[in-house]
Amino acid sequence: MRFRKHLFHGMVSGPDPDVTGIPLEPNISKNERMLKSVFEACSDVVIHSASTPGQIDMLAIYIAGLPDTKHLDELIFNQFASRSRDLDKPDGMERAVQASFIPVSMTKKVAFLSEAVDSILRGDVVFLFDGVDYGHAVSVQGTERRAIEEPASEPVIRGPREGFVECLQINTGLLRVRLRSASLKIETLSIGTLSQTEIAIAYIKDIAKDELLHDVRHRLRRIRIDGVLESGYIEELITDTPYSPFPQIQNTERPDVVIGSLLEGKVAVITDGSPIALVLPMTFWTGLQASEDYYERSITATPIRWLRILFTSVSLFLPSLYVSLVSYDHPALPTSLLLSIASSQRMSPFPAIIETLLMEITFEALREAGLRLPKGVGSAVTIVGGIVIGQAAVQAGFISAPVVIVVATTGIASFIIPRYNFGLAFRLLRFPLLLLAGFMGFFGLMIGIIGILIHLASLRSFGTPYLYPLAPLSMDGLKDVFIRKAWFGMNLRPRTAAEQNGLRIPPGQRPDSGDRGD
Amino acid sequence: MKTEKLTQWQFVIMISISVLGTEIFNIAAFPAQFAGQDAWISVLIAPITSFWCIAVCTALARRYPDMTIIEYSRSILGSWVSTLVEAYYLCFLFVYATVISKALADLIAMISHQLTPHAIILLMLLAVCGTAAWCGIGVIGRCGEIIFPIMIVIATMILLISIRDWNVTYLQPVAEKGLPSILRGASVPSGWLGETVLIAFLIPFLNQPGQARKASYYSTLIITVFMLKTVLICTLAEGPLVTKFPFPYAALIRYISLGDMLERLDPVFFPIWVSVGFIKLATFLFVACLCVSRISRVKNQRTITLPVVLLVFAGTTGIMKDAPGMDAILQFYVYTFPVASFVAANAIPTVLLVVDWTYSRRRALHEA
Repeated sequence: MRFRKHLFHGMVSGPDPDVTGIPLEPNISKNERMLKSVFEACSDVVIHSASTPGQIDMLAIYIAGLPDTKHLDELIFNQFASRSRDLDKPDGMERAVQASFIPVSMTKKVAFLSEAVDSILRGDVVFLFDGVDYGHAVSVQGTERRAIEEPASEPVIRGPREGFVECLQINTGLLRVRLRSASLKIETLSIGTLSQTEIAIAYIKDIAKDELLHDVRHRLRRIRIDGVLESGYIEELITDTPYSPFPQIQNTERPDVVIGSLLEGKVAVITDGSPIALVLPMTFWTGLQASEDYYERSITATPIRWLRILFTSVSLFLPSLYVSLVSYDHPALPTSLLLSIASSQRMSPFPAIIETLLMEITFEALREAGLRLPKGVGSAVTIVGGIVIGQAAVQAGFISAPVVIVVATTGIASFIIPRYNFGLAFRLLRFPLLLLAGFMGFFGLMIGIIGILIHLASLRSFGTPYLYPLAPLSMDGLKDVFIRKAWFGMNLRPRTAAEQNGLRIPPGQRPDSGDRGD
Repeated sequence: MKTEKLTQWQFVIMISISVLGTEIFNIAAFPAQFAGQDAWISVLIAPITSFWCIAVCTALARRYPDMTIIEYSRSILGSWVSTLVEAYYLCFLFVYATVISKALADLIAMISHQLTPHAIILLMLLAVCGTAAWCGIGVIGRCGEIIFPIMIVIATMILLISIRDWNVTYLQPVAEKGLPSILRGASVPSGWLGETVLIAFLIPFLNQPGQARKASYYSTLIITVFMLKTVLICTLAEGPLVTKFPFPYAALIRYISLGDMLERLDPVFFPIWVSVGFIKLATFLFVACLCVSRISRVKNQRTITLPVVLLVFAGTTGIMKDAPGMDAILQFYVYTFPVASFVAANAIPTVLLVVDWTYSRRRALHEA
C-alpha cells in the first residue's frame, strides 16, 4: 500500500525539471546554459547561435522537425539582414526585431525560462538576443499534417465531406467557418503533466446552459494524468458512469455534427492530436441518429429512424428471443414454423443456447479479426469465415440452419447503429440476455430487459437523464426522437439548451403557408 | 445526495401502475363471485374509496408539505399514539410487498416455469426490483414512463383481438342480483384502489406538490378505465366461467389467437404484463424502505434497501406455505385485503385529518 501511495505521489507533479519562476537573463550565454541543462540529452532540440548583422549574439532554439525550416531561413536571413541598418540607433535592436516578425502571424514575448521552454515544446522558435532579458517566441509551425478528408467512421451520402484532423487549430477553424459568430466561444486548457495536450471547450454563449459549462470545466480541471493521446482518455475521466456499456458522451469526427449539437445547447470538447471530438450531454436517442437525418427530407428520414430503432432492438433481442422460443416457449410459434425449426434442430448435437452462443462468439471474433487485419487479408478472413460458419457447419450437422439465419440477421442489424461505440453496448449486452433466455426463457429475457431499462433510467449525462425526452417525457423533445419533424416545425431548442434563448426557428415558415408573391 | 423529484406524468403513471400491476390479472374474478355479470357495475363503484383517500391525503399533504404520512402522524398524534399508526403502515407495506411478489412469482411459475423452484424466480424478481428501489424514485418513475405506453398498446391489442370471442348475452340480465351483491363485489377492487394511499408517501417527491390531487384523480381515472375494460372483456369472453379462473385475464390472453398464424399469444404478452408488475413491486419496495427509514430516522435510504428486500424475500418464501397454490392468495384478497386497504387508505388518514382539524380549530379559537 505504501509503495502504491509513493507511486501516486510521483505521478502528479511529473518528472519535468521545475523551472517555474526563473526569469530570463540579459546575458545570452547564461540563458544558453540554462536551456541546455533543461534540454539535456534531447538531441532533437536545436540551439542555433548566430550573430545579427549588427554583431549582436543571438540564439534560435527550436525542435528539429516542428518549425517550417524554409520559413525560418527566410525570416532569419532576409528579414533580419534587410533591417540591419536600424541597429545602430538606440533601442533600434528591439524595433528591428519586432519589424522582422511582422510577416509571422503569431509571435509573443517570453520573459521566463518556463515560458520559453513551453513555447519551444509547442513547436515555436524562440529567439534570444544578447543584452535583452526577454525572448521572442515565433510560431512558424510547419509539421506535415494529414489533409482534411472525409471522415472514415461517419460517411454520408448527402452532407459535407469534411472531417476533423489531428490539429486542434485546424479543427477549431473548421467550427468557426460554419459558425461565423462571436458567440461561438472556444476556451482552451492543457491537460497532461507530460503531454501538455491542449483541450478546447467549444460552446455557444447564451445557448449552452451555465450549469453545464461549470460542470464541464470543473470535471476537466480535475483531471490529473501524465499524457492524453486521444479524446477517449478525457471521455473516460469525465463521464458520469464509467462502468456502463452505454457511452454517455457522444463522439464524432464531423464538424457539422458538432455545430448541430452546439446549436442545441450542447458543449464540445476537442482534444489536440485526436480527430474525434466529444459532444455532451448525450442521450440514448442521439446514439440512434445520423447527421443525414437532418439533411434528407423529413418524411423519408422518419421511417429510417424507425428502421434503426427496430433493428437496434433486433440486434439486442433476436438471438435470445430465438433461444427462448425454441427451448421454452414454443407454443408461441405457428405450428408449421415450429415443425420446420424442429426438423433442422434434430440434426444438431447441441441445445439451442449452446449453438447460438457458439455462433455469436464466432461471429464477433470474425468481425474483430476483419477489423484489425490489413485490408487484403481482412477480406480473406471474412470469406473463409463466412463459408466455414455459414455453409460447412450446417452441412456437417454441427449447427442448425435457423441459428445461422438468426446470427446473420443479428450481425446485419447491429451494423445499422450509426454510432460505433453505441453499437458496442448492444453487442456486449446480447450475451447476458442470451444466457438469461437460455436459463429462464421469456421470463429470463424479461428480467434482463427490465434490468437494462433500470440501468438506462438511472444513467445521466451531465445532468440530462439518458432517456430524455421519453423519460422524463417532454412532448416538445419528442419532435426529434421517433420522428424528425421538418425544420420549420422544430421551433424550439431542446430542454438541454438554456431557456432564455429557446426560440430556434420562428414559426410560420412552412413553404406553402405564407404568401408567395403572387 | 439530492433526492430526485417526479414529474406529474411520472406520478400519474406510477400510481396507476402500482395499482394495476398485479390487479389486472385477477381483477375480473372477484366482483364476479358476488355480482356475476354485473361485475362491471361494481368496478364503477369501487373508486369511491380511492377518491376519498386522495381527497384526505392531499388535504393532509397541503397542511404538512414535504412530509410523509409517518412524519405528520407524529406531529398530529404525538410520538406515542403515532407508533401504532407507523407500525400499521409498516406491516401494511411489508405484507403487501410480500403478497405482490408472491402473486408475481406464482403467475410466472404457473404460466411458464412449473418446474423451476419458486425461490429462484423470486430471487431474480427481487434482485431486479430491489435494484430499482435502490436506484430511487426517479429511476422507477422513468422506467414506468417507458413501460406504460407499451402496456397501453398491448392492452389495446388484446382488446381488439378478443373482439371476435365476445358474447354480449353474457352481460344479461343487468343487475339481476341486486345492489347488495354489487356492493359486495366492489369490495375487492376497492382494496386495490386503496393502494393509492402510496401518494401519502410519495407526494413529497413530486416536483409540484400542489398538483398532487389532480394527478392522483387522473391515476384513479386511468385505473378505473383499465379495470372496466378488463372486467368487461373477461366477462364478455368467458361468461360465468370467469369466477373459476384464479387469473381470468391470463386465461383470456391464453385463449385469444390471431388467425391461424399466431395461435398462442401469451408467451409474448405475459412478460410485458409481468414487467408492469415489476414496476409495482419496485414502487412498493421503495415505499417500504422509505417507511422504514422515516420511522427509524435513517438519513440514507439506500442503506436500508438490502435488509428490506431480504426481509420481503424471507417473508414471501415463508408466507402461506401451508395453503396450496393460489388459494391462500385468493382468500387473502377476498377477506383480508379490502379491510386492510380501507384502514390504511381511508380510516387512518381521515382520523389524522379530523384530529388535526380539531386541534387547529381549537388553537385558532384559543389565540382569538
